[in-house]
Amino acid sequence: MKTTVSVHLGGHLMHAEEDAHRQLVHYMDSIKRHLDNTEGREEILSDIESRFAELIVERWSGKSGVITLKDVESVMQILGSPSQWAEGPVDSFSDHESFTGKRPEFGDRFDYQGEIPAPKRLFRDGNRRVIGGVSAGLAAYFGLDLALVRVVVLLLGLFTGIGVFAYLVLWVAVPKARSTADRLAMQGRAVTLESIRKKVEEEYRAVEQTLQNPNNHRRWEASLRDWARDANGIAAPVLRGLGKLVGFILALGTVAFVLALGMVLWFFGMGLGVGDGVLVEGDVSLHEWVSLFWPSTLSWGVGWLALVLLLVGPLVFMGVLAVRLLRGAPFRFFGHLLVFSFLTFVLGAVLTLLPLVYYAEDIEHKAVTTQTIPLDSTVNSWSLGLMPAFLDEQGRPVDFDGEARVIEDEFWTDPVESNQDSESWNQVEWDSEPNRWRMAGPRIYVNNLGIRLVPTEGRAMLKSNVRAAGRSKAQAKTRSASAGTSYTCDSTGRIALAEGIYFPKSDGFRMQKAQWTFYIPVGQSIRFDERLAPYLEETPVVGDFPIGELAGQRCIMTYNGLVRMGS
Amino acid sequence: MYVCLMNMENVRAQMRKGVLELCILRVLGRQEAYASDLLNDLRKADMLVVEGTLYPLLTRMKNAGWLDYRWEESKSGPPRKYYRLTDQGQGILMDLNREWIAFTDAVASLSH
Repeated sequence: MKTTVSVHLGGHLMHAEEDAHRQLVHYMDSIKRHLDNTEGREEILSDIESRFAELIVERWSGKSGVITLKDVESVMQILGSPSQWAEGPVDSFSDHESFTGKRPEFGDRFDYQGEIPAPKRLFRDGNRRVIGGVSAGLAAYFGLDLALVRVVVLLLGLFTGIGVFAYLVLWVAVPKARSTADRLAMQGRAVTLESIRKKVEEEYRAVEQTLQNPNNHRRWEASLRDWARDANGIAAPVLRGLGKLVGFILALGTVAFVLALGMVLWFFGMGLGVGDGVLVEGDVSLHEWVSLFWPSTLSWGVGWLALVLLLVGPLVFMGVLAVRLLRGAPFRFFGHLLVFSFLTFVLGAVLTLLPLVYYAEDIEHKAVTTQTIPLDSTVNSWSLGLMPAFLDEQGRPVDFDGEARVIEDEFWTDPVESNQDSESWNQVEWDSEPNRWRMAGPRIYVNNLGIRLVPTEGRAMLKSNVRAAGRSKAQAKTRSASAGTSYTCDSTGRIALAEGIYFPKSDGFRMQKAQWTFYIPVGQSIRFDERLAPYLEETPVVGDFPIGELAGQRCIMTYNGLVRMGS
Repeated sequence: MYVCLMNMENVRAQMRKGVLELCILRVLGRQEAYASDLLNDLRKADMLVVEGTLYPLLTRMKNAGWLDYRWEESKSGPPRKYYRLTDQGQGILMDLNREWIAFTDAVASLSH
């Protein structure tokens, strides 16, 4: 049973059904709007009302009754919509509305009053979206009912993977209708000043409508949107809280990093010996250690800069992230700082490569200084051991395992055949003793040692090859000449080799190595100390076992190598 | 095809807009009439598609002093307006008639 409303129409008192009445009011409102600034508005309205009533009565053909929706609609057809009249603003929105009483759905084919249709363009519709507006955009483009498209999309999505994939692709690929021009193109209307004006009015009215009638849009769309809003309402604070936690941790991390950094730099700056086995083995401070390797052709500044950049980069990065997360919102220059910190780090890393490249250049050429030491021909039984490089307080040899040591004193080198390189020779005196140069300054001991025991048909001999590298052949030669090693040998055949090689600190470590070759005549015996074992290389051994097993045992040198005596 | 039709409709509508006032004056010039009679005549002459067009025009012409109306009682309902031309309206009608003839002559002369 429809409720009826009583209505005054141009002096007549009539009864109308509820929906008919609503439609009538709609129509009258649209006329009122249309006649907004027109003179004699009230009179026109009353004329139209009267005519409306007249036409209704005519329809009933004399019988009285209640005004139905159909009555209203047919009279509206006769009277026409305001935009069809000769005067007043042309308004296609109120036009359609007054005709049908509902908001125009895109895809309705009706005349936009003099607009030229333009080819439709596919956009995502932000106004009618649930997720990304893909369905709405498609509905507009193909002129289909939105509900239909949504159902199809949902079915495709649920029952095939293609549906979801296609939706995602479209979501990314199809642009969102952002401007009024976009939204016009979405409907297939040409973009002109007039159409833009109309569209803006339409959209304004649509918003007005929504505010007045919140139940206007479809039920399920509304509930879905509400659900999304609720879910977001719960999720958002949780995520924000999490973000704050991470931000706090990052902030702590940054502070810890800064403190650690400060400590390291302090140590570095103070030149403190980072003692035995803590950071660098032996009594070499970090600074000294780096300076051993730093290529002379590269400025130290590069190293410092690289260090600074490598540290500043991550520091700024963490700090910026921490601030952002704690604040919960981006701040000015957030993006810029992030990029800056990353680039800084990358630059630092690149700069770090420079010393490596230069160092490679610095050891390009190799040279060797050889010394041949003939041994006592009366001896036929040898003992080979190591001269301890350092002794502790009790006079016991200190284990020189993988260490570098800096000794500040004078030392002597062998005469050098090549040109003198000014770098290493700046504190040199010629000693009165022939063939001896005295160099004052710190020297480095490194146990870069290699020992070979080789059979020979001639007499017993000890050969020392002091190898070194340099930027040029000449530099390599100088370095190998200024590096030194030593040995002792007595008449009983006891030989002790120095457990290392030393060179001036100013030379820097450039692959200096002491290589000893002990030529043992075939048939003669030898016993070597265990401490030599790690330095033995390329020594032929008869039998398939490592040379280390022969340590401490008397062996005989044969043509094919060492053989255990008594075996 | 759809575009073609629409354009033709538009053209007709544009032409009508200019001449509707003259039509109203001519109808009322013959005799006084109710709004509904006026509507019928204009519709028969295909000068009116929707009735609503008439009312704003009538009111404007009345405010300009070209028309006048009086209320007439009716058996089936409230009183209705009975329109007639004023003297001023008569004068306007004559001027517009002259203008119309000149206008159509001018258009005719363009194609010969």
